[in-house]
Amino acid sequence: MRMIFAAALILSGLLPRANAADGGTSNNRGWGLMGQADLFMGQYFYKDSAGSANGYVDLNLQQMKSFSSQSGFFITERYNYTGFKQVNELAGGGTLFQQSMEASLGAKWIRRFEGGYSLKPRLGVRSQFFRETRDEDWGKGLYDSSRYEAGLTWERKTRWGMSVPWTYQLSYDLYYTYYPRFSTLSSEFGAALASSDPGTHTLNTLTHQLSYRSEFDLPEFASAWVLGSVSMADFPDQKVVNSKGEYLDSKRSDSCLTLGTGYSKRFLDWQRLGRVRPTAGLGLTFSSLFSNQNNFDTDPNRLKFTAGYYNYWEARFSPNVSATFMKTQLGLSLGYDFAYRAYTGRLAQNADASYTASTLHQYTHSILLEASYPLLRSLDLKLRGLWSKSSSNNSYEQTYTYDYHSYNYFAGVSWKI
Amino acid sequence: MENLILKTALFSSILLFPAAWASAALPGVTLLPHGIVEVRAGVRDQWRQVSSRTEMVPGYDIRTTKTSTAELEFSDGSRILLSPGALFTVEQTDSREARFRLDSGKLKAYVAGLFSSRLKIRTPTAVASVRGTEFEMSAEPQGDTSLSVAEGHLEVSDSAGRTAVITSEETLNVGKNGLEQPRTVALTDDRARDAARPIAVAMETARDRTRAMLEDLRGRELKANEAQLGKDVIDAFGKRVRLEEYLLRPAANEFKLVFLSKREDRLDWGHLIERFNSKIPDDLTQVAGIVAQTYFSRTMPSNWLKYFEVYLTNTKDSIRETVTLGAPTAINFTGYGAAVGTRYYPSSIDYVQTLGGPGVPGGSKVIFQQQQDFNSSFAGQVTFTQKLLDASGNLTTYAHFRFDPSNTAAVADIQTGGCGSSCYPDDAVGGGFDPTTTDSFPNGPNRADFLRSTRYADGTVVSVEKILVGNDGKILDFANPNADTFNQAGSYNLEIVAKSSLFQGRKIDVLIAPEILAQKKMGTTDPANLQPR
Repeated sequence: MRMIFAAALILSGLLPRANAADGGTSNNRGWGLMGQADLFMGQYFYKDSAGSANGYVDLNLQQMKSFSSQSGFFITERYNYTGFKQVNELAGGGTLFQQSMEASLGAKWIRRFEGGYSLKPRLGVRSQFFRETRDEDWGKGLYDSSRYEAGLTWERKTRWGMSVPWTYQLSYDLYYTYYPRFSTLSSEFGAALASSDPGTHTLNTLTHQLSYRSEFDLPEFASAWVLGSVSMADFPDQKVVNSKGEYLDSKRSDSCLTLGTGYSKRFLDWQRLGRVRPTAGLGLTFSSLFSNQNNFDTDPNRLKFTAGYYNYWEARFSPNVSATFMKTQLGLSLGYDFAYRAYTGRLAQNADASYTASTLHQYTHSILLEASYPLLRSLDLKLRGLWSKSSSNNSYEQTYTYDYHSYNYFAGVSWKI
Repeated sequence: MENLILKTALFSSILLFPAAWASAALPGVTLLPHGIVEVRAGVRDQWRQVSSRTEMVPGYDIRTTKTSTAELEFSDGSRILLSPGALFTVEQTDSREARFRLDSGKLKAYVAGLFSSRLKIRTPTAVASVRGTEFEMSAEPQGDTSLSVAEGHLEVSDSAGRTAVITSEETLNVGKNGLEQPRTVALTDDRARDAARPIAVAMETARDRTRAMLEDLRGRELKANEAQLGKDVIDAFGKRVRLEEYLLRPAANEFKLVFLSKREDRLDWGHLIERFNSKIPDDLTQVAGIVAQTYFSRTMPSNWLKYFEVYLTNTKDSIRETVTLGAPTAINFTGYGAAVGTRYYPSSIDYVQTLGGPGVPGGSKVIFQQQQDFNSSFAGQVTFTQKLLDASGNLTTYAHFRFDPSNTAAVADIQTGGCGSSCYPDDAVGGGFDPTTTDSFPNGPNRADFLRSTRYADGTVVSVEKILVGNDGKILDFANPNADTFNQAGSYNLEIVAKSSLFQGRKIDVLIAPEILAQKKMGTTDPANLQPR
């Protein structure tokens, strides 16, 4: 996989550049290249404990080739290295040390038909590498994974009435995620210990995702989108546990539903500070997960069976504002995200681990602040900071932290290729 | 300090790289004629030909002939190309609004959208508000306006106030009756763009990522749940430990909990067995109540704990601790200093500690045993016997005494460490094979890392280090830890590192929930346990 990615990067250096922002003044039937490279330094803080400063690299490339107005394809490559832990990666109960690397390669064919119809099949592969403890070497992380993807998008570009352009897509995506180094200890040693058999590669999943997306270009510099997605995630090697702590022959299967909508608008320039261009947006998302998997708390003091342990619903509210100072091209953006998650079966626990009668719920607030300043035509200086606070009605934190605050910052340059 | 360096670096960068495009945002329009191009400063002015770059200001009219063209350059990089036969007017060019008029002819525009807050081009029948757009526009003096967007968005209004947004590869006519239905250009039309062009690819990539993000979030949730279930933690030595626990039901009156601690280079595991007098319910959440009623129940319990075993091993060496309990019997605890009257309590408790492994003589050896019974060895009294290794390595009675509840002074004497008349003749405390016990705090007195090492008279050494460690590998920081602290439920895992001179240099190193030890402690005979909870 890494060889493929390295070859793609070398190839990309030989190709002519294209730039979405430039519009592309004429059709170009040769190869085109565009992308972005980010290079940052940053630091992560968790409950006031500081992780060491480290780097962040993100390289995105798209190489495209059109054969005509009817057909063409593009290849996407991405490489990402994160040297410090991110707020959204709390596996391990809040450890400060984490490094991750990701490489992906994808290809998508575009076939357009008269009447605004398009058909777009795609293939992709992604590898993720984690170093979550200091004794893990690259390529030997417990949670290293590979994901193989295939998808088909059917698109229609039409209009909503006379005024509004409307593009909608119906997509089917298939993801097979494989964790080569994660297998249950019981599968490795269970026979010798006479323990149960929960399955071997219990994290591996095969996901069928069906999505619908609509985009509207509204008058007055506004736009809106609607997204609906249903995922059926099968765990081909994870057995369902019953109320006696026994593992059944039936396998775990999750259903995930996501409904979202968003709206953004550019306002007229504010004629101060050398002219400021403001934009604002709002996103609303509802998601839920239903799983047939249960949980048996084997702590001898509790021995608690919880049906539907993983089931939850979540509502998310995400407003954002940004401003571009036209004179200096300094850009500032501020985003806020609030999420409320309610587990429908999982009970909150007291500090001594005893179970309460209330189901567990969790609130998360996040604030993202970003600034960018052009150093050269394609090179921006960027500064980002993210603060996040999570709280819940769960007081038992021996195995996982539900109540915490964390923040990170990073600064560096972004180069548009 | 690092923040200060960062701020300084940021500030320096701003000073070193003055905004290269600061001038780009300042409104300014320059005319580049190609052939015979004429301009005038309003309708009262005379047309005059320009042959070089000329700055345009509001009020200027521009016209091209049937053979000439003109190019207007904006300070933000935007361009408008006037075709032959065009009549074009610059109406306003300030930062609030840039407004132009196309009375006749055709233009092609590439608009960056930064020049002004709002950029509009009027024709006799339409007004086009421009976003970042590449488009063509033509107007007839008293007739139709035709628009064709190559890339981007254009917002078009007619004289009746109706508005339509047109986007890439769309065309629109505005006639005397106003807006007509926008149309998508045919793929065979010259105006159709490449299927895989930069903007289309950028949008498609973003949409793919949005959908893939949902799968990413699901995968992240999966990992988080692994953490929530406590299956993946860091030990006190910075090593990743994977934990798994499994419940088994070997018999109707028994359950077995197997727990595994796997590090990259080793496996340590153990089990907990609880056996009861009679069948336990399928709903094991009721088992905790059965365990609780084994001790100090007001009435004879219907079921009770009969056997308890904790076994820890590194796959070669092992420590096994077993507790065997007799049927509960009524004991009046008043005489033992607890004013609770009569309660049901196990009639006997037999605790045995056994070492196993290739270095242990015979492969297995009991090194410690503690027995307690009521009314069996001595009528109406609790008898307490402790055996451990003597100088020859044999298990020999060490402490041996009884509690007489009718003798308040004797009970008090025992509870303060004495023995007096309550001791049996074979009691050997202080008799020459006393074990040596050493307590220490390897990480300092304020860290929950407690090491107890016991040396028996035959030279056998057993040490157990108990560390309260968070999931992130941090050792609990507190002052003056004691043995009871390790058995409290809390936000920490209990890491037990067991070593012995019989383990040939190996150790046992497991992480378990503290409650496992709490149950063992509850069943272990100890005078301090003879108190109702």
